[in-house]
Amino acid sequence: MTLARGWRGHGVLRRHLSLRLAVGFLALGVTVVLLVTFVSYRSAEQALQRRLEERLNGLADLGRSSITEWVAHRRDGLRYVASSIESFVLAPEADHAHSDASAAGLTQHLKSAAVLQRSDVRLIQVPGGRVIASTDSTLLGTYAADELYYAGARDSTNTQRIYPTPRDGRPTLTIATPVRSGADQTVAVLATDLDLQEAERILPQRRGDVPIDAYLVDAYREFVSAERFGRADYRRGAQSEGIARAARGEEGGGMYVDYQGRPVIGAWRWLPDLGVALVVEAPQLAAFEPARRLLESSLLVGLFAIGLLSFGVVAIARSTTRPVLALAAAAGRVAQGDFTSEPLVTSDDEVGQLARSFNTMTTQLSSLYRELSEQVTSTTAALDDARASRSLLQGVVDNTTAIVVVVDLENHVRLANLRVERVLGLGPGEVLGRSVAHAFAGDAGTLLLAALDETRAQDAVVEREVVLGAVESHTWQAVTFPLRDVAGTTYALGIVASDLTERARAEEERRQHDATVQQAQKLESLGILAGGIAHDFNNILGAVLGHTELALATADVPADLRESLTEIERATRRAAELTRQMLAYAGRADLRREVTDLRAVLTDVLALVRASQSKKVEFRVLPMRLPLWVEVDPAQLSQVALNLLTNAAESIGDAVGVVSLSAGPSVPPSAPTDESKAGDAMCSWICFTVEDTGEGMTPEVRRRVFEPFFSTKRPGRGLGMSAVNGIIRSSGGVLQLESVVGVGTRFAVFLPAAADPDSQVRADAPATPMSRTGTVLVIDDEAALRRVCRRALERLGLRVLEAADGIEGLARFREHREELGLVILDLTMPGLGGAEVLTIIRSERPLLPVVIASGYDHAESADMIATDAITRFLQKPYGLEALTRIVGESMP
Amino acid sequence: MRSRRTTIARSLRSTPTRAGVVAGCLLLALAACRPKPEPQLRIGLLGVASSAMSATSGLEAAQRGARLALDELNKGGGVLIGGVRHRVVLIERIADDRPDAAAQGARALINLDLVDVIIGPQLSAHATAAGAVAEASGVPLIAPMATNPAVTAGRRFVFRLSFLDEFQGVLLARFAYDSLRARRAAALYDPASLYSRDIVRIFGQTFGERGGTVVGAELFSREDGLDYRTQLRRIIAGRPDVILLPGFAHPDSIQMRQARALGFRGHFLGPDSWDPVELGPLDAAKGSAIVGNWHWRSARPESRQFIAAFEALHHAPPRTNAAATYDAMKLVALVAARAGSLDGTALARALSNAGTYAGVTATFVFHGTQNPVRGGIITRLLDGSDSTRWIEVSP
Repeated sequence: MTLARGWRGHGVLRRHLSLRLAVGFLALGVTVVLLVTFVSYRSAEQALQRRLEERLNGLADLGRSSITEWVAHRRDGLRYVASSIESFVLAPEADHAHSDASAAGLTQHLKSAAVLQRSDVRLIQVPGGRVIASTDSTLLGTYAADELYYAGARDSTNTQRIYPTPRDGRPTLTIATPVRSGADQTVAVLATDLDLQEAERILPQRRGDVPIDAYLVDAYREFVSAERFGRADYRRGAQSEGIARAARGEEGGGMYVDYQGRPVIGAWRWLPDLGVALVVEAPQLAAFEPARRLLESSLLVGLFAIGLLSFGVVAIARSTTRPVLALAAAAGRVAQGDFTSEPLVTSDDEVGQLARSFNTMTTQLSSLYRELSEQVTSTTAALDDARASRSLLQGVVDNTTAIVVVVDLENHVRLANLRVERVLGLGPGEVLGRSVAHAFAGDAGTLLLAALDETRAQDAVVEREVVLGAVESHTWQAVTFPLRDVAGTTYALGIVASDLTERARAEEERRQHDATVQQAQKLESLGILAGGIAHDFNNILGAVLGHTELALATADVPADLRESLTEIERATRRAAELTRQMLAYAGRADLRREVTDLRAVLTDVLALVRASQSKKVEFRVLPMRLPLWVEVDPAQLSQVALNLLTNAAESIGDAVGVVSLSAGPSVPPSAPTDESKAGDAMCSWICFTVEDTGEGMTPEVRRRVFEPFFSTKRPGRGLGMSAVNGIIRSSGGVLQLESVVGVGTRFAVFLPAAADPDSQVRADAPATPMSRTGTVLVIDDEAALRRVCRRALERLGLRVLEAADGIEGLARFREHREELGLVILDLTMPGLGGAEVLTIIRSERPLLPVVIASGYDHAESADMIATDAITRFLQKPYGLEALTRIVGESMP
Repeated sequence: MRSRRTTIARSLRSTPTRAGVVAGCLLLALAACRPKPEPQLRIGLLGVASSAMSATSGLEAAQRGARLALDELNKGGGVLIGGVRHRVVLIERIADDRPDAAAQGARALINLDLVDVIIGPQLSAHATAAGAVAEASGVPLIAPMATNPAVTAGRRFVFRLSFLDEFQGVLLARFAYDSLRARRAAALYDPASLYSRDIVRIFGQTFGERGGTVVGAELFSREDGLDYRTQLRRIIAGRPDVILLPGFAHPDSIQMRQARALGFRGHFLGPDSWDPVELGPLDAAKGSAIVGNWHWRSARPESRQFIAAFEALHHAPPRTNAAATYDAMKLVALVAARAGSLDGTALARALSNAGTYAGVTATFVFHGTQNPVRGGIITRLLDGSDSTRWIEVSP
């Protein structure tokens, strides 16, 4: 089976050597047997033919002499009869008329001539040709004057060559002899028609295994013998090669087809005296019968022998191929990598030797294979390592910012990293194989070549600055160095170049980044500082506000004092707003959204800006008849307006210019002005615009105007416009900017409109002072605030307990635990904080109302304290109204 | 499977096998290519070359008549036999003036030339011998001029176109007695000739029946030479009114001159072997009455047509033998077409049942016999060159 794989064919024969041998042998053997049999058959046939031809020729010769002899014998007999007649029958004066008696006597005499028995004999008178005596009575009195034999026999004995008799066309052989008188004068002719049947009877006929037929044929192919003549089958004579050739006067022998269509061997003779052909024939079928029998038996024996031999060959081939097959199977297993298999060695012959050699070979192969496997394994590992290293190196080299190139001694690039191709603007791998001059065109190439030459000449590292780059020309610091093999021979040169331009830019960027970070840190610390200041400032403002409100609440305050107190209260509130704004900058602003009247905010801010700006700037304000409600953080909205108006005024600078301010309901920003929807749209958006006639913005400035820390003003922080943009965007609004250099700038701020809050406000309980009873514990580390609070609460009729910090507050709480109706708790206190105090209070009086007061915003405080129905939040600084309302809510 | 197919293919590729296959293919191709033999109606004309014979029955006349007929038949596209057009082929064989030679000629025509029909020979002795061969081989033979009954007697394949000897003998006897008013008659003949013997016998019989007397019958043998005066003297001694000379034209003309020289003033009577054309100029023959099959100035339409064609070709009047051979040829073509076959038996049957056939020489009626019912003529040689008168006699 293993062997079979070696063969390309699939036939059974191709798979089995023994079968192939047997079939080959069989085919060869059968061919040889057939050939030998055929040759022996042919030679036997030829021998038989030769022998038979000789025999037939002999018989033909024999027949010819027999016939000739027979005719001679008849002729002699006729002569004898003629002489016997002469003596007593014929008178010299015999005339035409003979007596019947003498004729009868003659006839009797003729009939008695024993020598001519079975032949018609007639006596013909000369002259006249009349038949005067005949053994055939019908001829008596007829004339034979026309007959050839009659004319011919006048002088001597004559044999007329065979001819068709005029009576019935039958071939006839006539012998005639003169009958002479004493005076040697022919007086009659004695003629006889020979019995040709008898002639044929003397021919050599043979029966037996090879029947031999002999017959006579005349010149016209007509059978002479009475038996064959006139047979319906041969009415036109007999045609065959032998007959034809004999009729032509030839003699010989050969093989041909006889008149019946049978293949025969024949011999033929022409008997010219008689005008007949003698043919002796034997059928080939019978003649070659021995040869055929020989053929059959040799075929039988030969084929049987070949069959037997084939089996033998199969057996021998099997026994020969078995060890070979075993060997082949073993070889197949070896081919599949199984070196343990060994063919069974059973003989000492060549196959056995082969098997032993095979075993040795297998053993050697096995060890060799093992060694090779180990080598392959180690080599593969090494190769993998090398690949990994190479990949790593490649990665590193490719991703470094430096250019790395290796050139051979002919200055052709053999290795280059990605950077090279990128810098030179080439495709991947395109640079490989190029010469340095070709790869780095122009001055760079020349410079590098010079550096390389120098390196090669001095066998040293050379540094050069070159300008490279297909897109952007950079200055590179190139180092060329020789690469040496283990023997120290320089086999290549390396070029490593680093980008000096890129490095310079990176340093600049880092510097700028550092500055930005410093600025941010500065802001951060400023914010923290501001936050700290704002907290304390809030408490101060709380005290100022509280006291002012308390003073105003006093009934008998003179009118001028009341006005002053009112101004103090307003300024205090604005200061509180500023504080909140400062907290927002510091990141601690409470971005509270509330419905605010834009008109009021704008009016306030405008007053502020007018006061601070140059008098050459004219502020034009379009009239605003109705309040414009928007839901924003009022402080932020003020900041936006302040920034826009300040910037507008400052853009005019010291020149004379106009700043226009307008506000009102608006169409949605960037929305098509659709008349049908104008009404609704008006209601849903509020817009205010600030327009100046200043110097305008360049496109560069306009692009960067909202960037943080961008400023065109020397003392500016660069945060104004970015804050504006951020505030409007976080409020759900849109800011639009139009500016033309030399003409002016226009900002439009779109804000979503809000509902009129008056109805809700009215629904709230008015903060009218009312009389209450109960005890309130105020825990605050700010004494001024505690006092304002105490006065305000006492005015409401409440008893007030004070605590300066958390510990004292808890002590007070425990002292008056059952009588307390409310606790006002500052969240930020030194020591125990508000959150901890609240937790303890809740553990002891879970349902005691608590108001948390804090300068931080509510969201930030809510991280520490969960507000609910009994825990409320009060933003510091708070006014009396807010305090009164929240106390009212907490102590119903 | 593949290996087996390969083996067969390989064996086919082997040289001996391939040679055998190629040879077989070639043989087949040759067999297919061999031209189909042209359909033929083969007619053998058997003539006898004889110095003794007159042109009446002579070979050349027979050949001319046969060839004219052959030409006409093939010009008409041959003969349609069994739906196939057959070309007519004429094979001529000339035999020596002996019965056995004639028989051999017939044998050669049949066995070697493979003819379908034999026409000839002219003389009864020859025709009898040739007829024996034809009969034995089953090949039809038509003897146009043979008159002896032995020619056809007892035979199925042998036919004649002429009348029988008996008819001649009767006709001559009647004419001599009735027209020539002869009362005494004599005959000089060769007893070896069956023809002559029969005519003499029947003439004598009929003449005697009519009331005439045969005053002498002398014999001669051709071996005796040409001096017949011994016999003639004996005849003339009997004072015959007419002398019957039933021999052949040439010896007869000598006999006539010798008879005249011996003082005979009567008329000679001659059978159909006499040639009126040749004998016409002979003074000794003046006044002779000759029985014949046909006259070269016959007014029959078939005759006139034939004579015109013949004279156009040869610029000479046709002899009787030419006309008779022509008739035989045409008759063979006719019956072959009717038989639809070239088989001898079929042809013979068609011939014997040919019915009425209007030929050049006469109107023949075959009704199941070998001999036709037909008429003859008697020609009288008158004074003056080439002057004859003839009467046609119905059968």
